Amino acid sequence: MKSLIVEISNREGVRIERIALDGNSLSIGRAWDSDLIVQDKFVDPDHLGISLGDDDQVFITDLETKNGSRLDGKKLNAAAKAYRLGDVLIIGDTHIKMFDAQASVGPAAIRSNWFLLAERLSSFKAILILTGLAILLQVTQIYSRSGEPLKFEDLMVSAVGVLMLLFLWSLLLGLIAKLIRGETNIKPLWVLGCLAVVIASIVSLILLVIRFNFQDISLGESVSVVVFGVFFTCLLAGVFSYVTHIQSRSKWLCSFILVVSLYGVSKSDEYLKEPHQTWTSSTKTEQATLPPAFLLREGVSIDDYLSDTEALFDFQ
Amino acid sequence: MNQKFVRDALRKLLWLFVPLMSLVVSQNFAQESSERSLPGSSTASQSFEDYYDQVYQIKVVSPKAGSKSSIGSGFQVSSDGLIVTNYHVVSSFVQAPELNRIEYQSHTGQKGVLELVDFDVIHDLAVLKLSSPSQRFLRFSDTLLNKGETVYALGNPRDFGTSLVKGPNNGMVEHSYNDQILFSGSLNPGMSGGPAVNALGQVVGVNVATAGSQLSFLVPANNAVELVNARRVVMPSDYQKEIARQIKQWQRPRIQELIDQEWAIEEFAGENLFGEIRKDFQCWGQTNESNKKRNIASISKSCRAGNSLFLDGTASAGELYFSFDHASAVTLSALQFTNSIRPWMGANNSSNYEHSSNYQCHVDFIEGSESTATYVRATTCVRAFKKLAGLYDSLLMIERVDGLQQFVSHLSISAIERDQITSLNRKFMEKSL
Repeated sequence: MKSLIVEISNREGVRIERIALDGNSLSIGRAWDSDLIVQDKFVDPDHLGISLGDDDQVFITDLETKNGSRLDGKKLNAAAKAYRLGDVLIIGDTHIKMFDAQASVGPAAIRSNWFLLAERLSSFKAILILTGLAILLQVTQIYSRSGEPLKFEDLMVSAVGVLMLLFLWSLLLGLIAKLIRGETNIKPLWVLGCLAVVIASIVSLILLVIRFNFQDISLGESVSVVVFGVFFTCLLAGVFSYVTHIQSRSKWLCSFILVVSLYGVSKSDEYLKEPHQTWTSSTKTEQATLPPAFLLREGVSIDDYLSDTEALFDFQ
Repeated sequence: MNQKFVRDALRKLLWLFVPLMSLVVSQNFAQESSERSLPGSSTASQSFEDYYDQVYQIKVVSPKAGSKSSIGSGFQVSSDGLIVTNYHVVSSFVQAPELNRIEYQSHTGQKGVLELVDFDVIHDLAVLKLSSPSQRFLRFSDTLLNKGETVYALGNPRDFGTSLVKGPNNGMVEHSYNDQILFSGSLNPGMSGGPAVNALGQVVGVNVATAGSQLSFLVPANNAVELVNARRVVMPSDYQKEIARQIKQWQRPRIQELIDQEWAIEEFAGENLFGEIRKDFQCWGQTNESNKKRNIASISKSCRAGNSLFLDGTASAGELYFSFDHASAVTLSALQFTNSIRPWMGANNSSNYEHSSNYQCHVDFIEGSESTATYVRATTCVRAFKKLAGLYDSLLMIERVDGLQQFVSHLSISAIERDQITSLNRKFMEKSL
């Protein structure tokens, strides 16, 4: 006796059924007397047979149907075929997946908050607003950082550039997702891409203001590394959710390790240098310079400033 | 990547040449030796014959490399075999006495090793000792040199053989804190440390440097007399301590005077500032008005003191420099403007890892702006001399940003003690804010 959860999905939506397999074979089909009714005009009245073999193995048999059945992309024949729980079974236009009723609590975690987020923002209006916001923020950033006046065409080019980048990102990751996960997830990836651009723009502006106010390069760099480390870890976790089957905890671990190792590789050159190679005759100070309106704190007096500089004379 | 490779390759190439040409690269030191004419003789030229053989070629040799790393000239000034030359001729020995040796070659081809007795890094002089002194030596003149008086400089230019260069004395160099004789003759590398004599054959100066085109400089004889008469012997282990002591002794009054004196007001871009605050400072100004496509209009002025101390082929010290920059946006918005104006600061004196630490900086905003549309940001950076304990290079930058305008004052000072750096920075800040 084995209890199974069957997920039947087609264009109209998803239906979940519970079936119990014992020694007898169960049938799936369009017929009213089927054990599991599938209303799909391409499905035979008696389409599939499900039975339980030794060792609780589930077997599936195509009952010589008109349009046939596919398991994991391969066509089924009249011979009973072993079914691995979770595999996609296609009959007509309908996708069927079966899970063990006892053991299949786990897979719920695969569909994480990321999917919830993507679904919330998946309406046409939301995507349009997000995309617009991403482009606006990026273009504003490019405009304000430019050392020379920009023309309208330059800004349009930047806007198109942002769009192209989002397309490439969604298509490429969508392709990988299709290969690994079996679903392309282009829409969630697009939403994630837009969100990443929006959040990165806002975060870097906030960081710029913070670093401008503190004017301490080692503090500023550490804050930036931590903030962008967290940002990229989250982004990668999202990508892993949409693209792979990795479980929640390993997803975060993988993202974190990846971000840390990428940062390590990019900085390795600097750390591996001998002291004399890092010698320079120039100074290293905070580059952030903003108009006076962004200065949120009071200056110090010349006396205080000069007494603060006394610490500079301590060299190891 | 590629660029970096080329740059590194170029740097290595330069390094190969620096030891030999070190005197040319920095300040165009001319190493030349001059012999005086014979005393009381009817004409100078007759007697010079005798003095040629009193000019020694001085070389610093690295026994490992087996060949010279620098050449100059020198001359004997006492019966016990003291030889005067330039500090910069023997600087590579001073910086690494355990790796180098000082050798001489006389006009007659006699060779030997010299011992470094004393040096004066401020006036670029050194005293060496000959183990087997010659009977004859040159004497210093005790009368002042007249302007226009002919001076004969002797030395061994570029290792071609002892040569004599004749030219008028043009008095003391203006815009210099130390006294230097302006000599209108062509000193060439290799003549450094050679004697410059008057018509009587008495030493009036020591060849030291050239600025090209018959513009050459001599160290006045009295500096050499003082050094020789001090009769000190500096031990190799104390060389760096001695350099530090001499620089401190020279800098203390030189900087204190700047701190104490009034700085005459000179207008710059509508501000009451200052410029040639002492005779050794010279200022230059420029604008970018001729650039029709400019996004930022800038006016700048920079002032520099005329003295710099040569430590070795890679390092110098003692520079004083300040500048003012006024920038205003022509085509840019406030954000674009502030993004474009972050100024950069670097050392004004050359140095390397052997000599200096990296800069340590402190940046903060200074209070006192009347409105919220203005801020003043001050950056101070300090680096230490590794071998010269208690001496530091300092950079100061004060930026005042006011909407679409920015005003920057910059002060760069080298080889100064900590208390004077703070005092001079304070005065500069108060005067330029």
